[in-house]
Amino acid sequence: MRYASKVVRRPGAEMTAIVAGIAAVVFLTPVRRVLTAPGMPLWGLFLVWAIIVTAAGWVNRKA
Amino acid sequence: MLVSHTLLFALGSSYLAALVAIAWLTERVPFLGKVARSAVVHALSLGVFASAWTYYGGYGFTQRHGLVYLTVYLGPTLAALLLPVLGVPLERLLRRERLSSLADLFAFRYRSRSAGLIVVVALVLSSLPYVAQQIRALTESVEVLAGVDEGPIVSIAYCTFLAGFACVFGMRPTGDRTLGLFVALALESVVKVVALALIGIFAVRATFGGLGGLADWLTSHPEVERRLLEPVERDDGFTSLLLLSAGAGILLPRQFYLLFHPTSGARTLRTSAWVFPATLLALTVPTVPVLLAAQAAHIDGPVDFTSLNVAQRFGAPSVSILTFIGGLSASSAMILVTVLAITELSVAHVVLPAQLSASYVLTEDRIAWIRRGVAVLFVFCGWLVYALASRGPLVEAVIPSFIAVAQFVPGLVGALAWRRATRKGVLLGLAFGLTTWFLTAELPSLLGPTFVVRRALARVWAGNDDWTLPSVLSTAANTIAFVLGSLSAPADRAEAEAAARCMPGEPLAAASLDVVPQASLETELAGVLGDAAAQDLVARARKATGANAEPARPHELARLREEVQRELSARVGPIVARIVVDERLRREAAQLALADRLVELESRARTHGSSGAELLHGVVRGVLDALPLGVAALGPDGAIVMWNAAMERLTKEPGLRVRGMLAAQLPAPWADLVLGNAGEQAIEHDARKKILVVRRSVLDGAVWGEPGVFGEVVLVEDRTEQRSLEAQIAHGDRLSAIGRFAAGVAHEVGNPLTAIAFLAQNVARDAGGEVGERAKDIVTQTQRIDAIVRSLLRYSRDDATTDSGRHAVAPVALDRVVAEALTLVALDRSTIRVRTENLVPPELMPLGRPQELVQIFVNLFTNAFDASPEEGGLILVDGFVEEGAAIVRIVDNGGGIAKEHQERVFEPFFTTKADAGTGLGLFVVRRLVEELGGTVRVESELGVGTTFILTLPLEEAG
Repeated sequence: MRYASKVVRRPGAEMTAIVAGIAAVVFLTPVRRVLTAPGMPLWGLFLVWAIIVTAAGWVNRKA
Repeated sequence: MLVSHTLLFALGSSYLAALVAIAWLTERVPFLGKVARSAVVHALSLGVFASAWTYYGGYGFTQRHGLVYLTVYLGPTLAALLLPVLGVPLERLLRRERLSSLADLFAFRYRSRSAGLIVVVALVLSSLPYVAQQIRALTESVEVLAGVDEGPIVSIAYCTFLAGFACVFGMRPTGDRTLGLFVALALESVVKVVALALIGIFAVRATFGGLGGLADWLTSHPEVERRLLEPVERDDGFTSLLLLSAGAGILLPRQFYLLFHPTSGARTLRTSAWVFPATLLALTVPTVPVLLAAQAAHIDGPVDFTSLNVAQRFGAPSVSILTFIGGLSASSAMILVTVLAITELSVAHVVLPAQLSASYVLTEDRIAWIRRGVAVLFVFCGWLVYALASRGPLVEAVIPSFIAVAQFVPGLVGALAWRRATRKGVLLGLAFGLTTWFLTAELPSLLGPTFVVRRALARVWAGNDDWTLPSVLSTAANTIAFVLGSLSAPADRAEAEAAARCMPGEPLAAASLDVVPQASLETELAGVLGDAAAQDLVARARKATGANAEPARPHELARLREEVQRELSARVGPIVARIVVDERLRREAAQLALADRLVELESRARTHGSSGAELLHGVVRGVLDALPLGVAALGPDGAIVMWNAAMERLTKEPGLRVRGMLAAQLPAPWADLVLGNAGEQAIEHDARKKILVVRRSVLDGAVWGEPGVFGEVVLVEDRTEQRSLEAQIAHGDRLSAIGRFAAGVAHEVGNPLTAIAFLAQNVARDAGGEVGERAKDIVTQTQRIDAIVRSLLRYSRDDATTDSGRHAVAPVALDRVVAEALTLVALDRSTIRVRTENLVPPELMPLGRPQELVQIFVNLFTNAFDASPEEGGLILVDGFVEEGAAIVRIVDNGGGIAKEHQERVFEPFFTTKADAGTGLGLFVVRRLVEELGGTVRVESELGVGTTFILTLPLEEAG
């Protein structure tokens, strides 16, 4: 995050990095398997995806 | 239910023609041009990532690999989320160095034309099958819908259209080029989203009666849901494809071209961070429901074209056509942008360097025709691959392209974050990585499952996918070779400099600079670009650097050379620019003086970002610039080392030009000022008199790291304003003393005058006849003397009666003020025959203080009288109300004021009356008027006359 704010020199870069980090954890690690476990609805993955996109829109809303 | 192929052809042609029209209109209708520049349109155009291979091929891939399909879109989503953090510095670097592609960046960072060339070759090789799949998707969709195989005709017509479109809209000179293309691409993204959404809704309603029916069907068929989810749970290529897609989302030629296009910027990247993922999400959602609908309804046909099969099965030609148009959008957008990106790469890294070697003059026309030729060649090479080797499922056929661009990740990371990365490392990495990719991914994809390498891999790799092993093998080989190669030998000077330019915060000290004499620049460039273009380019570079017409100092010449290289890079690409500037121009290594070194360091710190020390330097520099005092520091050799903003304002000499110059070379009068004695000095500059106070102080050489050597710091304070106020006060004091004296005289005159008037009235009454008439004349004249005496008394009366020293403003009868001022001025100017007319209406009563208003008009009338001719002079004063303020005009028919003097007449000490004037009259007028909340301005024409226009506030109604 410090790298982000140093390199980008813009307030809000940390929040962007956090959202991207959460997305990476959810989709790249075994956390993903929770979303595809038996009993989870099929649209669970899409819902998480939509939430992440919304969060990205929120933190970058003043683009 | 088949659709007529004639109808398909007509609709497809109309759709493509509409795109052309929109692109054409965008470049001509200002409103559309404005829309085209919006960040959202730019971000929407990135939807070109979803080409026909996912638009159609997603169904087949989902059937074979379940929800692993999502990774194709989830990867770019992850990459897009990081754009504001990692993309912005990259965008800054590319913009700063005028680079436009990955190959440019590699060639620039690693100082290696070979690295750029390898990137180009890899991108061309990996893009051709990709383009071929788009052509194939279109021709096969026509076959599915129309039931006839017209592949050759359709594909050739389609390729001809695309090549033409690319030639018309993609080959413009730098600037607003491709604006129309962006709008067309954004529109194509919207068409794809809408088409997929509608086919999704149609399929679910037609098959299940709605989402409830779909949920019920899934409940009764749990095995279907498990088939979709199990590959994800088992990670059958999920992680690897997600990472590959993330890289492809940024590094595929079309994505990189759009993301880092010259019209892009940090704002576009931040908008893309959510608009692009949102577009991808919208494109992904319908895939699974449509596929499930096809399974539930037992619809046969090529699985890649499930959406068309469903529409046909349920007899909905309109949905079929809409789906076809969506597919046409997807493939045409992908091919167009890929053609543009590949053309730019190939021209900059292959064709133009070859043309340069053959000594051709690279005029703009020639470059444009070369681009068109390369674009057409690439499209038809894509067609050739389609005709000869396009086979297999759509998605799997293009995954090798993803693996190819993944080979650029180590070099890219090294360019942005690893100072030790070297040319040797990146060349080794690319060689190992791309060879592995070609053998394990590209060839097996083109030659099919019987290819020997694929069979060998299948024996050692038991995975359920074709991409994980080739991607792991190639990127691992690449990374290891890159790291070992980079560590095996240190970077040379050029590489180290390029590394520092690519990484924010790197220290950038230089003891010498490569400089090229300006004449050599123009001569050499003329051989490459032609005379006119070369002169234009050097002139633009000189303007951009703020250099003199004949820059001579090392840092000026070095900056000019860099700027020329940037300008050239924008025209012919960085490779040719570097060949021309670095290799052809005669260079001289110039040893830098202290001042040049500081200027160079500062300029680089500004361009490349600041490290701690540079930041501190920036702070100190900022503080010095904020000082209201001029500060100049002289080095031990008498050269100017520092020149702050106040000095720039005072002398109108920019620091960049002055620094490094010997103080003695400064233009007059600044050389004498900087080198002369301390103390107050009156100078004349730019026809203005200035009063400056100079202080000097000795600087120990330790300040710049050379103990024992001394320089000087010179402080210059501009006291012109202060002196003018002091003079004004002194002038006021003198007037006040004269006023008091006049009051005393008036008082003493008053008594005998009263007696004379009384006696004359008696004589007039008693004598009658001629004597009586003469006595009446005496009475009239004594009354006139009385009026004059009263005016003098009022003018000289002390007004300071309130605590603040001033009366409050109140409405004042302006006609009386004008009459009184005219009387006073006429006393002194009685010999001049000037006719005066006071046309100010009695009801005009602006806010003010009578005494100050009289002084304002006395000063204005004094000037008007002085300017008027001795015969036929006329001074006219009128007044009226306009927009809630009183406007008063004082018009004379005097000699007028020269245009160059009109702006300066209100400045202190400015006078055209030689020794007769103080130069304070109009200065005082302006000050008093502004204190009253009004304004004063002058309009004048030489030989015609002058008009002063006063605007004075009125009391607000109510």
